[in-house]
Amino acid sequence: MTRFLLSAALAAAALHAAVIRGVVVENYTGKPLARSVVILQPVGGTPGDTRSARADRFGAFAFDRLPAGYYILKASRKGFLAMEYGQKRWNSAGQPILLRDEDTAFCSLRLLLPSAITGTVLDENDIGLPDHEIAAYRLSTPPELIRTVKTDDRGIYRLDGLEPGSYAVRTVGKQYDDGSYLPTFAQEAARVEEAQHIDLQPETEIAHVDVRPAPGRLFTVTVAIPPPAAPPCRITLASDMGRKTAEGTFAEFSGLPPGEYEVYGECAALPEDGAPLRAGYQRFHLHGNQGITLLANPVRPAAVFVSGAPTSASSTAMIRRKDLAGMGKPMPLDLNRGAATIPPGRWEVMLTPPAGYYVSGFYGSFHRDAGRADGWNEFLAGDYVSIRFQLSGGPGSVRGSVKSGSDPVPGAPVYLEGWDPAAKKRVGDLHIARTDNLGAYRFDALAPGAYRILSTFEYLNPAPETMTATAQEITVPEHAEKSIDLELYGIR
Amino acid sequence: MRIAILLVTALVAWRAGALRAATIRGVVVEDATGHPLARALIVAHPVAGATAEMRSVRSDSNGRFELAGLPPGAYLLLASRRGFAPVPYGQKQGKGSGVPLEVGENSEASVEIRLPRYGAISGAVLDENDVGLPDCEVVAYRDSHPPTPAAHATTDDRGRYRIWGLEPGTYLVRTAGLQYEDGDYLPTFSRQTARVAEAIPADVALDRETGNVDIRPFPGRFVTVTGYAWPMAAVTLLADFGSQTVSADANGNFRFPPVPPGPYELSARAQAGRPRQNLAAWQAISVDRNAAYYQLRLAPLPQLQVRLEDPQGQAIDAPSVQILIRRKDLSGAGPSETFRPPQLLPPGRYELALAPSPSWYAAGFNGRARAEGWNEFELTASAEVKFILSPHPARIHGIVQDRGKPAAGVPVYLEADGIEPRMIRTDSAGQYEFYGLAPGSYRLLATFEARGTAGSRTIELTEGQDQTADLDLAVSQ
Repeated sequence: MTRFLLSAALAAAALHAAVIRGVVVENYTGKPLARSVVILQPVGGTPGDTRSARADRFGAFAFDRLPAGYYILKASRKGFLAMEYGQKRWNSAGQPILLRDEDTAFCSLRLLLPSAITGTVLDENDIGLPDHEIAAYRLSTPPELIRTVKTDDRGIYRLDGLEPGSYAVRTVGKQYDDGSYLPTFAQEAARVEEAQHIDLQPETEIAHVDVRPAPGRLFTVTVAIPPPAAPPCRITLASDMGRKTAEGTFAEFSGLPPGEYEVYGECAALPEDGAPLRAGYQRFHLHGNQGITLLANPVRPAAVFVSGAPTSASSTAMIRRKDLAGMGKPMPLDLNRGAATIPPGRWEVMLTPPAGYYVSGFYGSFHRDAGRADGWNEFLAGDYVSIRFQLSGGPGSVRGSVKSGSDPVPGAPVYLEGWDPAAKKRVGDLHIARTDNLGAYRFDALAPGAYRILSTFEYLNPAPETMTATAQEITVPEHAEKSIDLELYGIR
Repeated sequence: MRIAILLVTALVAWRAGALRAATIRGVVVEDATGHPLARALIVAHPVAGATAEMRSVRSDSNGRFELAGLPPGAYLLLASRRGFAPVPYGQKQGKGSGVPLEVGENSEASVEIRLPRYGAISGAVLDENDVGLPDCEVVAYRDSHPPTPAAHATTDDRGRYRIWGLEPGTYLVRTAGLQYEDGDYLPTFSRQTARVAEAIPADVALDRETGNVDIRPFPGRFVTVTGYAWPMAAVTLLADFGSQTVSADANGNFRFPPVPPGPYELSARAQAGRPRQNLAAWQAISVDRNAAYYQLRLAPLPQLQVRLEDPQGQAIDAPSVQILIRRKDLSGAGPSETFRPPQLLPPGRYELALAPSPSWYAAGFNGRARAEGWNEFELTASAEVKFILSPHPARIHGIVQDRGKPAAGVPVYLEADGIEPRMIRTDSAGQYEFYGLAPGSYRLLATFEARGTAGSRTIELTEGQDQTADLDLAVSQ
């Protein structure tokens, strides 16, 4: 009966249009947020495409001539946390808006400012140290470098633009004319385990997180790219304190604490190289002043093989650099006739297979991870790179419905996580879907194996720890469709 | 026996030195709080004419320092620490010059030097609804003609900025242009004007923050700068608020991310040929909405030759003449260095000056009559520039007196319209001298206070004149 009524309503939608109007404002002050991006996504089964609009100078927006159905409404503006209409908290998923025939809905979207940590970096006499770098680390395992800023002339810093969560702050090593300071966590700790834990709530500023860095010995690394490589060149030094870059064939990085470092350099190719660029990479442990000669050789095209599927079936791939400072930005990997440009260094690559196939294996030089290959695969690129993806036919799929009690839940987020039970690790990126008008969901083109699945409005992008606490483990078979109905998870 | 005599002689000399030696002790503290400043650098310059050498020391963790074993005499003390304005001992209220510290035989002097912080300007960059705009570059310009960039800062997530490290003076504050997905904001001066003449200046003093300098930038449209340079060339687009460099593609085409309209300098460099040769090009451009494609013609680096002539047009060989050169671009003048012609230089704008000499003065540059100080020119192709040197420079010298007695270490300023002021200090006998001067009208002032202090004396100099001008130490009332 419900299905019949909804079908009738949708059929009438073409004749009678509905409207969603609204305003985007700053949560704290209520000031209108001009030029906010507002996106309206119809839930599966609701006719129409995703639409977007810009708030006018009064923060107002409107979507008219909308068919009846369920919609997800999102708003964002630079400098604010993006939000979805109906969110319970800043990191929960938005509720769908039910729009009946000729309805006019009015929605107020209040955008939250990110959080901040402020304090002072002080010397032994409580004098602020100017131009001293300080970093915020998210307290994940391992701690993740999120943001680095410099103190002002008073030694005051403000680490802003932080998502709510748990953080620690640490000064970066600094060399002065007559002495140097070691990296030091607030408050006065050398190890992250002893550091002050700072819990950030939305729109809060935690102040007075002062640090008195410990004096100690720092070192200098000089990096020289010898001829024939020639400018323009860029040299990058990476550590868990972040990345430093310099232009040219010679760079001097000073004020470095002992520890692990990676250096990589890229130069424009010479006309005779027959390669798009020259590049070099080294990893080293620093325990004294060190000079490094970084050979930048022509980057020969990497051989990227995709086997197990007809050559007519095309795949796409993404690649990101991985170094001690964290992950780089994912970029499309140019699979131009099986050859790609991959400079030396550590990389992660992920392949999206053609329809009807899944990635069943990955083989690369110094391949680090022997687990599932359908996510990001790490490898070490040298002067010659050869990587191979093995595809297999017959991926699995998962389908089902989400119910709250006996009622289907339209527009409910469903999260599916590839899961390596042995390594207790997420495989690849989280798969996210929303249920359609009838509460049904579906995930296709899945590599066979273990997964964890959860449907909830409580989280927007649940972390593996959250999935461990709330999700259901399932196994996706090869060549088969698994059917599983989910109960909507909610925190009561 | 000889060794014993030498040893005794050395011991006597050492004893005599130790008996005559003076000591300067002191402490360096933060002006605002009185907290000791560890690791401050203290430099003692003996006043000219004395036999002592310059000495320096760092303050300990309690801010204390000691300069022992100093020959008696007058010393100028200067204390500095990163983040603080350097302060000479005896400076009045953050203005003027330091006063020499006299130490006699076997005497000890004790001083306290208070270091202030530099000044700062703070405010917010706001949109039409008073919502802060994050990540917006804000530049403080010294209020000169034309304004010269002094420092910059980026707004935080609340749209707030703080530009610090500013010397006392008057500044203009401008946003550097801001691009959002849906529209752009043009560079805008505080408060809300695109024109320098209408900008509201902000006064900055040491140890003070000039706040609430808010800006609501004007909406406008950015322009994408594209063009052709050379395959794989490094192409740089420079504005007064910074520069960005992109690499041209294999066909030589380049494209910059959109920039606000305004004056820019576009340059490119590459290497080509065997043996490898540096190629470069430079062009001053005005980016507007209609013309954003530029073709740069890269060529081997131009050679700059400097010709020195006497007033009769005859080339002269004057190896003692020191020529100084500095690069000048929209962000101001670079550091100066000695120029030895002929020299290959990247194309661009430069300034040349002759270091003052007792034998010559610059009587002309490239057809211009006055050539003291810096002379600007553009170098786009190999060129020869010309200085006319007159062998008859004028000279001013004299004694500075304070209440009838020669005053050592007094700053003496020499000013003339159109040239940078010169300053020297009197020596231990109170004497000063300016040489290598062109004929003209000059103003002379001897003071420990700020340069604008009343009491300057005007002197007209003719070609080759040797003028004696004794001065009284000027003190403000």
